[in-house]
Amino acid sequence: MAEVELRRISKMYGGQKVVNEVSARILPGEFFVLVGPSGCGKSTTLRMIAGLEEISTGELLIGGKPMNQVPPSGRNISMVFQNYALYPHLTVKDNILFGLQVRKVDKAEQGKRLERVAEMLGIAHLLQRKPKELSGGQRQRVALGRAIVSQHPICLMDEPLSNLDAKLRGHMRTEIRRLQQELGITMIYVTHDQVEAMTMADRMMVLRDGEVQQVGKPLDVYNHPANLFVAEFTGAPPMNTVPAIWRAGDQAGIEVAGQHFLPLPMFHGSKDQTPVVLGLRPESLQPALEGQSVDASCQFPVTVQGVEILGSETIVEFTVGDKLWKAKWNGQWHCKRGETMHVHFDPAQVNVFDGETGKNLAVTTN
Amino acid sequence: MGELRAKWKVNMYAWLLLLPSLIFLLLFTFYPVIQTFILSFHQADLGSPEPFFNGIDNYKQMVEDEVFWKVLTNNIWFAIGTVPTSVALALGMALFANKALRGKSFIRTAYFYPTVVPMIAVANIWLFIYTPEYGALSHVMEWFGKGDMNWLGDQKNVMWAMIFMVIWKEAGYFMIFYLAGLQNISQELYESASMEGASSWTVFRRITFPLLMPTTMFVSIIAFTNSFKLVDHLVIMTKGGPDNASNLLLYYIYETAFSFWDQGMASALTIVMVVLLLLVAAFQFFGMDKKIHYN
Ligand SMILES: Nc1ncnc2c1ncn2[C@@H]1O[C@H](COP(=O)(O)OP(=O)(O)OP(=O)(O)O)[C@@H](O)[C@H]1O
Ligand SMILES: [Mg+2]
Repeated sequence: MAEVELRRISKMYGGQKVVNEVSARILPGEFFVLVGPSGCGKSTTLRMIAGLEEISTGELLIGGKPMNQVPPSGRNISMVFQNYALYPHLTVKDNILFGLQVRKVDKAEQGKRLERVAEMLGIAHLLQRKPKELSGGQRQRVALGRAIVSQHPICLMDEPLSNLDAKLRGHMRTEIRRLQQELGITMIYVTHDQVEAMTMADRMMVLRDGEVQQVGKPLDVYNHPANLFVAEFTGAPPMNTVPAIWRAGDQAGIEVAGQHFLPLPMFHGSKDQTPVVLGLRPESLQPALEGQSVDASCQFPVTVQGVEILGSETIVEFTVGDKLWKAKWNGQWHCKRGETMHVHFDPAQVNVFDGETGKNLAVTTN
Repeated sequence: MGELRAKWKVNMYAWLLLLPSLIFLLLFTFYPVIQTFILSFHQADLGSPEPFFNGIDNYKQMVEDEVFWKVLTNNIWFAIGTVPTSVALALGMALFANKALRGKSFIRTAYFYPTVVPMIAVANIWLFIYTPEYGALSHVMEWFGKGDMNWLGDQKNVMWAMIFMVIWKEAGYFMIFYLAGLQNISQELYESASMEGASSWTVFRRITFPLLMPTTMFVSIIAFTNSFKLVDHLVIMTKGGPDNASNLLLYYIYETAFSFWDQGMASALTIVMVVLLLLVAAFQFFGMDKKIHYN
């Protein structure tokens, strides 16, 4: 019923392909997030699902039925727009009921649904106001209400939180997630903010230049990024990377910047001298304290370049090879610029990417 | 003390900034209006070498003047004939021009061009169109087997002929305002409505039209004042005839002032017209404004 399936969907504008053969199967009741940098084709993909944009090639199925030729209103979908698309001349009540009035839903039923939605979102006291008399967060709620009241099993959202301030955004994130779970809606949610994707999604799809980079659970994507792009897109600060060289032989491993050697037994098949990229998450790099016994190859000295103390954690910057790396440590560390420290890491958290294609050499799928 | 001076300085600055427009406003708007108002209580025709005060005689005469009533009735019919039609037509044209994908700019230009043509030229063009026997309209009527009709020479037809011409002339101008108004409506609203499956009529009735109300209001006021202001064509086409059948208030004022040289009476007529326009504008502004949504 509420399953959405994209089969190699593409979108051409003139001669330019802005969405390239995107495939995905979104399960009923799933919170699915499309994430990627600006201009990667997220909105275009979402609008093709909604029916606001024609699908150039490929097939869209909703509940198993082909939908390419079905108008937006026949797709059982509601949508929340980035700027909310509230009708400025109508009251909150009429805004929420607009769709039901158009579909000539019974008056009593309209009243019942309105009451329920207003209560759910805490906007009962705003029903007689016009949108311009509302705050950003309240408008957001009305837009949500309008999507919910239709009782469609599928809901699309295009960057619905981008107009809100940071605190409200965090609050609405949990609220949207709660509503989605309470109502069992299939949600397809677009954002360029990886934090949103990580915190809200059941599964996320990372897009770049119209191409799918990776689909998976947020933690899987975070821990096992399929390629360099995904690695550097996720996390705040993003994954640290540095070009390195693979050394085969009985003592296999990678050599960073011609000095440091890290024995890594797990990759086979790569030839000696293959250029690779080494990646480590900021929180994987921890300070090595004196008297702690750590494998010497998993430890290296760094010269501190900068320190940001954020209260509960501290970001320490240093260079590795010719790249600026960041490490994230719990607590407040009063390091000085120019100070030399030892950092260590768990070899299990090392990611190695192909130097040319950027593919993660450990992730075999995809 | 110092505070007062500072305040005075700020005020002074404001007055200085206002001065240029104030001068023009006083010189060319308020002063003539007041002069006209005063003159309307004077006898100032060819028979009186110096204007002298005669109370409300001019107004009394006016009420008894059949031509005045005829001209006023004409003008009201002219307004009723031109305002709603040209505004509605402009809206329709704007909706179409906004929608038509190909040849968008051509359609816009075609609709707009009557506006650029001076009224005097328009009058000459339509004078030819309406000419009996060899005029363009007569030719068309002949194809339909209709007899020859004298559009401008017939008391029954002349007003219709004028109304039609003015609608043609004005609708394109008003369309531009509607086009601008349409551009201001966010595309998201239409997309949202299409997700709900609203028909084009519903979308127009519940979204487009209410959101265009400010434009409609503005355009209606212009159209209404124009229906009292536009008289250039009368000079070319009918001179208000036959038997004042096409005469309008402003042209009658002009005739009174510069053909009959009765300045006092002309002033009184002018005051009547100004008050009439103010009343209608005030009604539209204060009466309808509350119902309109402004962004
Ligand atoms: N109507 C259009 N005609 C031509 N190109 C378009 C059109 N709409 C979008 N594009 C292009 O398609 C690409 C994807 O656009 P899209 O709006 O889907 O990006 P996005 O991922 O939503 O970005 P953002 O995060 O900035 O909203 C962009 O490169 C954009 O320039
Ligand atoms: Mg977008």
